[in-house]
Amino acid sequence: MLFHTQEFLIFFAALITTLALVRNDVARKVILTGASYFFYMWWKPLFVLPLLATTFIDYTVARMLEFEERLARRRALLAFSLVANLGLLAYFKYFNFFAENVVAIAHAIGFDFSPALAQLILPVGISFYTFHTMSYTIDVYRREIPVCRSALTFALFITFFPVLVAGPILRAKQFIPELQKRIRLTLTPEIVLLIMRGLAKKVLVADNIGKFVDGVFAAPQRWPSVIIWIATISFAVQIYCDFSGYSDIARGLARVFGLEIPLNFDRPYAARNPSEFWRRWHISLSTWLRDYLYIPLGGNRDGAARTYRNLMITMLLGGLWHGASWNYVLWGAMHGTMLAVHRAWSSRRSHHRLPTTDYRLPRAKHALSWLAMQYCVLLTWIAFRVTDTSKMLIAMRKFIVFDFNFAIFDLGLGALSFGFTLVVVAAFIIVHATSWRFGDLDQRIARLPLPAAAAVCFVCGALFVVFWPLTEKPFIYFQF
Amino acid sequence: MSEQQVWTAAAQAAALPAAAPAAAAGAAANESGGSRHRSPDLRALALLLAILLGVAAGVLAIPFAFRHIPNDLSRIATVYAALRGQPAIVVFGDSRTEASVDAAQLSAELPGRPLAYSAAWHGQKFSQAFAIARRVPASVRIVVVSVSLQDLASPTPGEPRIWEAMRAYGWDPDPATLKTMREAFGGAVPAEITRSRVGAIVAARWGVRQLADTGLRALIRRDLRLDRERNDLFFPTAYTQRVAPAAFEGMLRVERTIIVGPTISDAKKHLLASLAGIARERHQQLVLLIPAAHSRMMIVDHERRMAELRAFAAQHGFGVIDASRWVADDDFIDPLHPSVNGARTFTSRLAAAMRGED
Repeated sequence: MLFHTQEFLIFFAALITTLALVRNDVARKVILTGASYFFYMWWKPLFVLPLLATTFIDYTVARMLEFEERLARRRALLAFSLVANLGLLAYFKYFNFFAENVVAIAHAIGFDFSPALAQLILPVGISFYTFHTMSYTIDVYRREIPVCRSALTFALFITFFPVLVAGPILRAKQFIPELQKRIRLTLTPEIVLLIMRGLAKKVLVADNIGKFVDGVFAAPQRWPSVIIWIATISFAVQIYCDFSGYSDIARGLARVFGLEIPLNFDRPYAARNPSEFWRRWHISLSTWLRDYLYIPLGGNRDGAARTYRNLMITMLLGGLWHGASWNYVLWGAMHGTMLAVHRAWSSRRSHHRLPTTDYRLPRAKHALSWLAMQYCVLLTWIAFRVTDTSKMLIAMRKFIVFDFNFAIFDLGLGALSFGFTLVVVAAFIIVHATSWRFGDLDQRIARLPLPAAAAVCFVCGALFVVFWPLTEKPFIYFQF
Repeated sequence: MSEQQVWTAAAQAAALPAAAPAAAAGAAANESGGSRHRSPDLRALALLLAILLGVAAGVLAIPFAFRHIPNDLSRIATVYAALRGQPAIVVFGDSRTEASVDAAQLSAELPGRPLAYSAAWHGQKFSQAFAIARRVPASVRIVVVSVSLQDLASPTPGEPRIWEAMRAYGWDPDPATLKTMREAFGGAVPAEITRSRVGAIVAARWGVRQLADTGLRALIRRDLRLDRERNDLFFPTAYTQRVAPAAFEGMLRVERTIIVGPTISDAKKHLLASLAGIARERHQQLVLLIPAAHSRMMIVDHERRMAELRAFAAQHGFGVIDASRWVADDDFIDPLHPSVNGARTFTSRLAAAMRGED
């Protein structure tokens, strides 16, 4: 069930109505949990089984960890939970990828080996909810958080429908305290505007850009560099709006129940270096990888070489988390390299006592570092977007080696809504830059006098009708 | 210490960086909402209401916008308007007909100079021509429907977007048309025809988003004379420039098709029979015109299919003209569209055929 469909509207209206009629908090949480399962089962009812299994295993393991003092037993319990969670993920998400690569290697060395591959469908959101539960069990194991004794609260933590299928990846220490508060139905202008902002990003921007991006990257050999550049910038806008739009809607919906979930994006394209980018992009994943992978690997504690190795491993696995495909691994490797190079550069500046703090840099250097960072990020988006390796290399070559061919108007771009895409991307950049300079637009609108705020909403409502996509498009991160 | 207190303490101790901005933003939002407005819920409801009113206004604005913002199917509106006039001959068809028939020349070459209009638009299929041709004014004596053999063989009703544009420009199916379409296509009857008026309006919202592309195309390609393509009721597309040889070969590869299946699908047989019946009742002459094509586009079993089509036409009392070889290969700008020279020849041959000389 997608947030921008009629089914969801009916589901949400029915849920709110039911909750409004029930005063008892436990009953409200039962209803909310049941609704979350219903929401998940709408797609494929049977896929609730891995979700239930994960919930049961991690609830039980954590309860056992509560009373277990022997280190070996604690480790065994943790290992059991990790194997169960990662096993589910590996089976559904990576089994065929692994098998295909084994077959390819076997063929390459002369073995004719063709095993039957399983017809697996990836349960939606599995990458997100396994990370929810793993963080909980690891934190309990580390004694960083207490055990959640209420099975209901724990089930709601795992299944809470706004974040179930595409995050943000919740941490128990953030969200379980929220769930222990009373479920309080809330509707404020900020909530309305946050949801509207998310919807606008998704349906007005992301979905209207997709046709052009898909068309260009389906055959990058057809297009000159300028079109590859425009398509890459468009994809950068599309994926940001698609994913952060989802996160905005999820945060808005959570607030309707009086619950706060963490920010997942903080103007990532304002970043001037790779570290800053990862502090701003998909924050819940980057902090998860930092706390449960990078730091346990040793972080930056054991010298430069190990730090670079740890960064690379973290980003490679981060790339692989997105999907079982080599292009995501390459994407992770590119980001890992960028992080390592930036770290080496920063260390050198620090070693030579060169000024490292941003405020000391002149404006031109700021602009230059921003441009360099955006160039690198755009290049990585090509690796992320184009799964076919030969097409990816063509697109990257055209992106890097600019061909100065501007004869683009007889190439049938009209069929890809090129002009409309340009308008949408330009409008987004203007609005985004404005909010970057003056603060979030939705919060500014919320502070306007009612007639002015209502006028903005009115215009947005009209735009929704006119520019709502003609066909329903799922969120890009649903596939992960 | 209760479990809730333990968790709150754990959350405060953890103080994840990602949570901080969210909590701060939330707090700030609540603060601003609470301090400035006494009834934040009413304000929120007012904003929701404004969004809904915006949605309603959008729905109301789409037909207006569709009519006034040019899109690649704006010609349909011109054709509708023309059919409220007094033409004696109307020629339906797709972009091949737009480029082949000069209705003014046709009129000049016929005795009594009857007023002839080109009611073709690009992408028009026989089902769509059928829907409009059913309602031509009483002044019309000859209805020419140009239709390819591929379209006749196809059981599909045509591109949904064209049906949407037809509805957005004001065409609504009358019960008889709807009945015939249902009989012809069964379950495959286009949803664009059967949906409600409001549904049809909302579905046609793509017309507005074409503004940027239509504007850009008009600005960059002034040579295409897009206004003529939209508004000219006689000869909307006069091509003068041939596509490059490589592109020509590429188009041949893409366009060249082998037709499988019957000469006329059951659906199209039903529509043809119905249209022929209406023409008979109104004392109009219905003529089916097979458009011209480059010799390398000829279908292998062309003659067999034409013979079957003629037999069907004789059975239902309408005429068939095979114009597939009327234009010399040098007079095509691409494998399907004749140049101005080709159109001149084509129209003369059509006039001669109507005079009974060809």
